Amino acid sequence: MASITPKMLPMNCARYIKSLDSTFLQRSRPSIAAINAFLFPTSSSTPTSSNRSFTTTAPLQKRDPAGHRRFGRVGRHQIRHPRYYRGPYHPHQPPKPSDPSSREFVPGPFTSERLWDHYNDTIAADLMTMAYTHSAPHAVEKPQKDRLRKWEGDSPYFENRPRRGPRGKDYLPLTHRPITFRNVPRLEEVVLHCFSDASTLNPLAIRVAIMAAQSITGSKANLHVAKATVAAWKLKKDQQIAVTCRMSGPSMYRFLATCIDVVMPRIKEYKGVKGTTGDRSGNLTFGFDPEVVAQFPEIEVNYDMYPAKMIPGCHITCKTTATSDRDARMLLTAFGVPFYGKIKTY
Amino acid sequence: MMESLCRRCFTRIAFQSRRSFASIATSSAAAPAEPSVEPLIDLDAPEETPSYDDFLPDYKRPPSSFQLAASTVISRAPLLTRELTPFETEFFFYQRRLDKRLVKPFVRNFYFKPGTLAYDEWRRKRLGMKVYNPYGDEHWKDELRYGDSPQEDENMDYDSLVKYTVSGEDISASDTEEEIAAKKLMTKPLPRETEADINNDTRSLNRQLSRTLYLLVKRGDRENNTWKFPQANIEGRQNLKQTAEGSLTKACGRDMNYWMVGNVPIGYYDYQLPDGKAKGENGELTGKKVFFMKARIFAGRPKLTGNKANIADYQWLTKEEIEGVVEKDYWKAIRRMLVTR
Repeated sequence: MASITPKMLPMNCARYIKSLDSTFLQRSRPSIAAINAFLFPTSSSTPTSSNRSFTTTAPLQKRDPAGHRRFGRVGRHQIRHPRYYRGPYHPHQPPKPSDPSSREFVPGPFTSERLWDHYNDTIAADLMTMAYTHSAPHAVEKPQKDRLRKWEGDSPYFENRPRRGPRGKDYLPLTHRPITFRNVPRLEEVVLHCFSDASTLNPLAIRVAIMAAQSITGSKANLHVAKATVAAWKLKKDQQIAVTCRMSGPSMYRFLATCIDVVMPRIKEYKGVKGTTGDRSGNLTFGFDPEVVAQFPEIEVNYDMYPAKMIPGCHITCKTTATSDRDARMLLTAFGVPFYGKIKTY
Repeated sequence: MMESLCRRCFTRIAFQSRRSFASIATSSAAAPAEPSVEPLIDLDAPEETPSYDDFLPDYKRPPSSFQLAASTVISRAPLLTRELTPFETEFFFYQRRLDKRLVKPFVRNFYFKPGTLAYDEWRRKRLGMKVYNPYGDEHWKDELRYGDSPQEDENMDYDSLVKYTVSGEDISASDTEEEIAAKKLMTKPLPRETEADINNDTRSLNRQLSRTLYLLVKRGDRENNTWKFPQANIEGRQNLKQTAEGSLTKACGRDMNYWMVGNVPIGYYDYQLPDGKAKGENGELTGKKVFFMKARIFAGRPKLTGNKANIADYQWLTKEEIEGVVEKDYWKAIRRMLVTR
């Protein structure tokens, strides 16, 4: 029995063997072909129950050649693997997430993304050319100055003490490496954030916000609750108040392309995204009013189904791999996002 | 000052200082007597070489046995989405079908309220649609029949799109049949293949819309000239960008609207001059080093009449086509800087 694991045999077959006398099986040690012949007798050679023997070596024709009854239910896409992973020694091992029968399988991609292709074929090479800074071959790189200061003084407490933060700031800015073909700025993730202020009064509004966010992004919404009670805003602690949706990969590019090519041109007297946006680390944010969110084609198509005045506005954060806002702005400009007003230098 | 600064820094400082004096100059200068209205572009005017300010009059290029040259790689970015390979088409179709089988079915009452106009319209449009239903009796028919293309099956061709997606919301009862037809009319998209593609007109920019096209020129003054990017020797104290722009103007006139991408070269090519061609002021030049500068075209076309670089012909070619027309050494030097698509 030890040599025959259920992995090698059909499931029902394994169950059948378990019900047989195990000592008998261990003594005889039959081959799989012999067991198959024993379990699936064909009409050509029908051994009677009295003279069934394991001496038959030629494999006979299976009753289930397609293997539909191999595991789970009948049908190619209706296999349901066990919900929980039971460890590496369990006979059932879950398939890879890329296998359509896996519980973690997510289908896709469904088509090529126009904006992504445009980035790969046109924008990336141009960005690299524009941001290139030449250094002579074999030039010695200047060692960077210590960004965290030492504790200087005679105090014995300074020994082994963690270093001091940078002067004048309470954060450590990113270091900037020269842009090469390896680190051309690219879009990493887009996060849509909706704060539904209507849900302070009406708990239904957060459901509307969830549906609106999910339908325009195509990804699952995460709920956020209020951290504290603020009487002036009618906010109560632990009240469900905001929704975020994260996108990456094709859906992210599709969403951004919809924003740039469909939604932004529909906004009346739209100046663009504020030039001062950004967190100094290459993440830019812009926002849309509730009226603009209603202009998304996914909401516009059945706008009547959303209760009146409950569609929230949203903030859209574009996370890029650029280490400065300047490079991130250059990337988004190349995608077609307009910027206006004062432009920051960093 | 010149001894302590590099050329780049010196140029920057000189440029800045010049700008600060510009406002003083304008304020002190007398107002012009009569502002003359000039046309934006005078096409008949003789082409003039761009004038460059020389910030380093005493600078002398160190002697070298190589002639330096700059060349412009001017390209047109793809205008259309890329064409999918047959495998990609099949793969995407397979994934769409898998998605239909795995996601929850469409809840029509959630998206359209029963009894409303939108609901009726949605139902009416779906009547003739070929829709795969993974929850119906024929759920097992999830593959394409022989001869069907994925596009045909998913109602994505032009006629189906018009039939099933164009809404009749703005059609009123008082409209005549002609008016209804006009409102339902959707502009038919132009084919991906243009006339220039069919005629193989390589001089036209209107070809190979889903690919990057590069401008190649051919000189007509010698017998064995080959196709190259527009190229010019660096003269005087011009920098690479200025020379590259000058080469484009000399070879193709001023009818092109383009922008230079960055100030640095994207490629490099050097070769030895053939025997007997070695020249120079003292006969010391033995070879040539060419630096390629990147440019992108917005609009326009090269003008060959009256060009100063003896250009006889030009072509807009894709990467694969370039390989067929240029010399082998040249191709080896340029192939890495051209994008695949």
